[in-house]
Order: sequence, then structure tokens, then C-alpha cells
Amino acid sequence: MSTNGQELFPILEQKRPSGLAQLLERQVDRRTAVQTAAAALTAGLGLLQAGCNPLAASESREKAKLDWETFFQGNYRLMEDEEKDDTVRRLERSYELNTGRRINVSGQGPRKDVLYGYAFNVSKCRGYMDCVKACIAENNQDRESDMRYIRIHEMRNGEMDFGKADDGFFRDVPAAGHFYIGTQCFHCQNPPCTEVCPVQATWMEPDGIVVVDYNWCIGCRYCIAACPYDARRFNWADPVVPENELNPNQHYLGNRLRMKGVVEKCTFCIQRSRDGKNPACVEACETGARIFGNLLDPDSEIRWVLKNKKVFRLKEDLGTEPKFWYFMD
Amino acid sequence: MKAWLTLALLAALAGCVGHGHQSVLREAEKNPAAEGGGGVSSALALELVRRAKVEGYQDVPEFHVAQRTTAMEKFPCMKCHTKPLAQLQREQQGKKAAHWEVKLEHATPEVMDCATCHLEADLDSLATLKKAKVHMDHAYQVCAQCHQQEAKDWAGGAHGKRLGGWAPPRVVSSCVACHNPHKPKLEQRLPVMAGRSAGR
Repeated sequence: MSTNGQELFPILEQKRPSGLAQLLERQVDRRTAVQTAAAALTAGLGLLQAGCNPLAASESREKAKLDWETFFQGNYRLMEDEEKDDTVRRLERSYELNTGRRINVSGQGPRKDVLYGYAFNVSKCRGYMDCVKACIAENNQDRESDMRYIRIHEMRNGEMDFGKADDGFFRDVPAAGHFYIGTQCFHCQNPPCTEVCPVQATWMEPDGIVVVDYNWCIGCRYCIAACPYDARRFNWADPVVPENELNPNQHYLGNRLRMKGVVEKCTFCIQRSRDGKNPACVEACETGARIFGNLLDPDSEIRWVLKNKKVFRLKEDLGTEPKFWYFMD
Repeated sequence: MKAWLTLALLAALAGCVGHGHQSVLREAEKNPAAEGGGGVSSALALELVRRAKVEGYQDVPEFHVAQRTTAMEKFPCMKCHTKPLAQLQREQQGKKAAHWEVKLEHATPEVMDCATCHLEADLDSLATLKKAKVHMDHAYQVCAQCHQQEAKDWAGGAHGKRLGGWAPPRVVSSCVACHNPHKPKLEQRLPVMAGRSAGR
């Protein structure tokens, strides 16, 4: 081998001193030596000073550490409770380090014996749009692309055709001869969107809420194609939320700040509903057209509506089992 | 041969029916929660809401209505109504009446006047159609005399606004918190923001 190597790569056999040896063996005069030493001393002191500034150094090191850990973060659904906690704390700390302001991120898991359901009273909706406004404010949606989870469709009386509905209305409401119907994510019990995700970044929680791990989402948008209800939204650019409009009360699977290239959707305001509150749209609705509650509680309002009103769901024949019913007075 | 074919067809059909999945509601009905709130409660959110227990709806679980009297500016009425109503009316003849700003636009004058809901003998209270006394906090009992379907939906949870959150206890707004009893018609108004056309 060595003879072959010598033949093929004669350069390997040439004896040349290394770079360091060259440097050390170099002949220098006294003047150059003093100049070099002075320059080295200055540079060294500068480095030492930078290294000894405790705040700047530890903050940048912590930031780098958080970024490193986030880069290797796993799928949220598969994490142990401790890992979930670390992940949530990391989000809070990263935000604080980057902006100097604090947010409160929750990792609250599903409550036992709770399955969320929703009912929408078509007779009561008057097209005021309070729900949409509250939803955007609550869920930190991108203001630049005017992202919305809820659509309110203005329909002509006697027609139930979403293709002919006006979704862009702005006039005195309710307009004569028209009615209003809202759509959003229906949190199907048999969701087609989660089935198609190639990386399992979206799933249904045990309390029935369909969620997305924004960090695990690869942005392929298969789920958007699979949803029969146009419930999912994609961030084509980095979402913009003005600092003074940011909702600091967030949930990892809910309204925390998203990034470019990920899918997001209504989460029944997971940051609110898991604490017993109503979603922002329900609370904001002036007419009481929106009803939310626990399907497993026989005494809940939602169960009363399902038992006593004539309810229907959209595209029921697909077997998606939406947990979102419509009814009329 | 024919019998066998029929039997096979029936068996296939039965298989189809048997494999149909259970609806989410049927599943929910089969698995009732031991405790409706799943460990959370709206009690804290409702801490400052003064409430009265709703009476007269035995077929729905117990619930409360937010007190009305705490929100009323001119209550108790006895602050001004120190003399009998007839005497006050006599004294005010030709002058601007005390409740000049209230113009009743509820049903027609042939059907309703002030005394349909207000108890003349005790102005702090409301009255049923048979002049039985109703406390202001239980105004829903007066409304329910005519608006029976609305009252039934309100008691069940299909009409009105719930306070606090979805978790028990259940406290709801009174009818008159949203509907002005003197002018119940809701006017048109502009939405708080413009809609967004599909495909954008």
C-alpha cells in the first residue's frame, strides 16, 4: 500500500514543517516582536473583558441552549409530562430573552370526563361579527394576512348554499331577507385531517379537541386538503401580531405564537376551555347564538339543545362526526 | 337457489348495518361524566355575580339568574314613590311626567300598558297577569307568561347568555339584561368588522 501511495501521491512524502513550526522558527527582529506582543495583548484583553461580562455572556449562552434544545424537540404528543413542562417553560423563557416581556404558556392537559361540544343557533345569529373579532384577538392570528378561523356566511332566505353565500358583507345587519350562519373547525370525532398527516403533527385530544403541534408540523398542507369544511389555515409568511395586541395567556397547543410554514386552526380556545371558560367566540356573541359545553354531562346546556332541538350538522353523510351542531328556534 | 340468494343478500345487508359506526352523541350518552365540570368550576369567575335561584322550572337542573336589582339605576322605586300612585298622577297633571323617557313599544296599546307588568299597589315589584307579586330579580316569570317557547329554551340553555364559563355552576342573564322590556325590538346595526370573502 505504502509504495502505491508514494507513487500516486508523491506530495504526501514531502517533509514540510507544519504552520505552527514555521511560525515559531521564523526569524523576527526585536521591533516586530514587541509590536506583535502589544497587538496580541490588546486583543486578548478585549476577549477577556467580553468573556467576563456575566450578563451578556450568560444570556446569549442561554439563548443558544434554548434554540439548541428546541431544534431537537420531539413530538409533543409523545412527550412525558416533565418534557412537556420543559418545552412550555422554554417557550416562556425564549420570549422573555428575545423581547424582555413575559408571557404565560400553559400545557394544561385534557380534563377527565370532558368531551367538548358546540351548538350554533342559526335563528339567533345576526351577523354582528363579534365572534370573529374576539377570536382574532384571543388567538394571536396573523394580522398581516388577516387570518380568521371563523367565517360568517350571509345567505338569502330560502337558500342554503355556501357557494352562493356572501362572506364579505359589511352593511346594516341583519339585512332584510337574509340569514347568517357561521363555520369554523367542527372538531370531528372522526377527523380526516389527522389521518393524512405524514408526521402525526395533528391529532384529536381525549377531550375531543383537534390540535396541531406547530413545532412538529412540516407544512405539507395535506390536512388542509383533507378537511371537508375549510377549517384549517396556513402561515405563508411569519405571522405578525403587534406587541400591544398580543394575548399573553397562551397554550402550547393553542394560541401561542406560530411560525412561517405551519398549519393552524380553531382549538375551541384550548387555553380557555380547559380552565372551565367558554371559547372567546361564545363569550363575545351578543345574541347567545353560540352554546358550548361538556357532551358527557347530561345536565349541560349543550346536551339539552341536542335533546330538545332539531339539530343538524354539515356534510353529515361523510361520517366525520362533527361535534358542532346547528339548530333553529 | 332463489332462497339461498335472498339469504346471502340479507346477511350482507345485516353486515353493513352492523358495521355502521356509533355517533358521537350516542357514545356520549352511554358514558355520562361523574362530575360535569371535569374538575373545573366557574365559581371563581362568578364570584362577583349576585344571583337568585330560578324558580318554576322543575324539569331542568337547578340554575341561577343574575340579579337584576343590582343593575337598576332607579331602584328601589320607593325612593321616589312615597305616595300612592293615584295621588302622584293627580299632582303631576299638566307637568312633565316622571317616566317621560319611557315610551312603551311592546305589543300594541290594546294589549299592554304599564300595569301589565308593574304592580300598581307595590311599585318595587312586578305583576303577573292576575296581579300576583313578582320580585324584580324574577322578571323572567313575567316574560314567560306570553313568551313560553323562549322561556323554555332559556331554562334549558338554547336561548340567552350564560355567565362565567361552560363549567358548573350555571348562572344565566335575565331576559331584561338583553331585551329592553319597554322596547324589545332589536335594531339593525353595522357589524364590528367586515366579512372576508372566500378564496382570499
